Amino acid sequence: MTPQIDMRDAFFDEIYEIGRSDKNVVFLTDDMDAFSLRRFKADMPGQFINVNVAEQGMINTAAGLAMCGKKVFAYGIASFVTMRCYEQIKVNIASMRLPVTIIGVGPGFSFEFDGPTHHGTQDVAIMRAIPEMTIFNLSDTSVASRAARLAYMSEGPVYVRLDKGAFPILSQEDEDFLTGFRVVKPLADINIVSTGYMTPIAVSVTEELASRSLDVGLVDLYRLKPVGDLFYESVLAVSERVVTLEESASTGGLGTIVCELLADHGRPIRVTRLASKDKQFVSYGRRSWFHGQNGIDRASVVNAILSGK
Amino acid sequence: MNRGMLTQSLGSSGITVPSIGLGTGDRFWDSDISFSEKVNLLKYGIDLGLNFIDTAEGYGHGAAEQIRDDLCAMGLPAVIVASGAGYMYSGDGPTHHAVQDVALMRTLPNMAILNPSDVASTIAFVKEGCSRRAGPTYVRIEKGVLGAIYPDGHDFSRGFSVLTSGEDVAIAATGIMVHMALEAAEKLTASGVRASVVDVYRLKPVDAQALMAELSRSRYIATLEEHSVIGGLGSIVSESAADYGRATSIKRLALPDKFAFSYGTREWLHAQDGLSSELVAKQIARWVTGK
Repeated sequence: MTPQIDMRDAFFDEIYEIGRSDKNVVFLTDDMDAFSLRRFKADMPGQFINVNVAEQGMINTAAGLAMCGKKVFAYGIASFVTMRCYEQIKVNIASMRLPVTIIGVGPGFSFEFDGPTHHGTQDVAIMRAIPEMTIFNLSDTSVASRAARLAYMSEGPVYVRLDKGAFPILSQEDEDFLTGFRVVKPLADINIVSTGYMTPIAVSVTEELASRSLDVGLVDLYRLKPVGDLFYESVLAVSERVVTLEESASTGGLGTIVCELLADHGRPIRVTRLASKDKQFVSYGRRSWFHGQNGIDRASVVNAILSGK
Repeated sequence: MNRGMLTQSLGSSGITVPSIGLGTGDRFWDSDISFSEKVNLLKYGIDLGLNFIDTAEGYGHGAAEQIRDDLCAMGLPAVIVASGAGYMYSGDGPTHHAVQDVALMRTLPNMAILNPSDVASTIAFVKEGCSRRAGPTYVRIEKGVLGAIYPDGHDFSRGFSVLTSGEDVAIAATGIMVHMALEAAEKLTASGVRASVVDVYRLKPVDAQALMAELSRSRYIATLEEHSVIGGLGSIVSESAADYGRATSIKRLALPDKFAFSYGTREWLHAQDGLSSELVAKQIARWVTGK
């Protein structure tokens, strides 16, 4: 088994290599740090700008640099780097179709002790509504390093949701990550579609169910926009029941994406949408505790699948 | 907590508002004080009893985080009145088009979203927003003259109203598009397709079970909105269909997920995206009859 490394390290190590080989790459941060980022700052000071806590200014700066031909990465906390500067992203980046990659660290309840200002449970819904936007929601280091490269190669705006911590690697080494999804457990009648931080939890759910003689498939939808026809044809069209699992709120994330696709194709299968509640959590606890509050912890997901709906 | 603020009645609506409302246009947002100070000012005003705020959708995007943290998280009963829904500012380009606002506002906890389709519903919804004790209300308002749909005193409490009945296809529409849906339904009836029109004016919270029970009376379901195809009424109905075990084929008629850089009248912009009563009727007829 490959040694586990922090997902941010995997992503920023790749960004480091990209910055080394292309002087046109500029990295902006809103005063957000990461251990693996210090090397970039130390070795490429001319390509690194800390704009400080000023998200709207950072996005506008990114737009200006991109208009001058730079490839820009703009980094901040998921909740702030999307919602605080939504209009700047929509108008200055997306409407101009500029190659700017916005990196949101700490999606979902990652910043578990910082309250609802820091919770990233609405960012997918709002970023998805912006035309031209590509959204990656990273679930392990293999997709993290590949997403850094794909974002660099993109001609339009990209939003990357980046988690902290080490996660098991779910992919084969030669995976190219161009389809937007990967089958983690072979498809069955009942299939879980999960994304980001929830995919490792979904793996343990399928293991628990297998021990109870229920084989459930698992698909990791690591690209939330665009979602291609291939995902519908090879996953939803062959499922008898779909369970969606995400840490975002139920209003506009993965569950909504799946419901829209099923409605568009008129496929009347049962859907169980497991997501965070449409609620402001003004409470403090471990991330796993928040998952329990929202019925998206391992035990609740197992029960939801076993109980039918 | 009205601390001696001078109040008056709002037109003939019966709503009591402070004599001085708060305008949040350029003078407010572009003044020298910082953004957070403006938001604190807004909060202070609400605490004092201020319940009448005029803004436009375009300002709301820049203020999304403030709305979320300061109004939604705190459950404050502010009414956000957004002028310029959809392509209302049709000649001002994508900066002024409000086609993502429902997707955005819908993700905010405690938020209520009301999208009126005529004068009676507009008055009722401003009143409803003002009477909410906890949590903000987002009301999308129109300019210009719209045909009356509802009589005074109509009961809007269900969140949707059935305007016409037809067993072949149910068209769920919202806001200004309710008028287009009614015209399309007439054209459909003339061509032998019986269409019902359901005005879904409360976009949050939605009684999804009741809405699906109503829409499922017809064999097919279509949605019609002046909003991006992502995150608005089409998404709401798709989610509702899946959640209530009635997942079915739904035709989502909405604006495409792209920026509209063209300039013209609102109707012309709609038609570019296949939305006019003729085009809607044609698309639905072809879909329902398979021809």
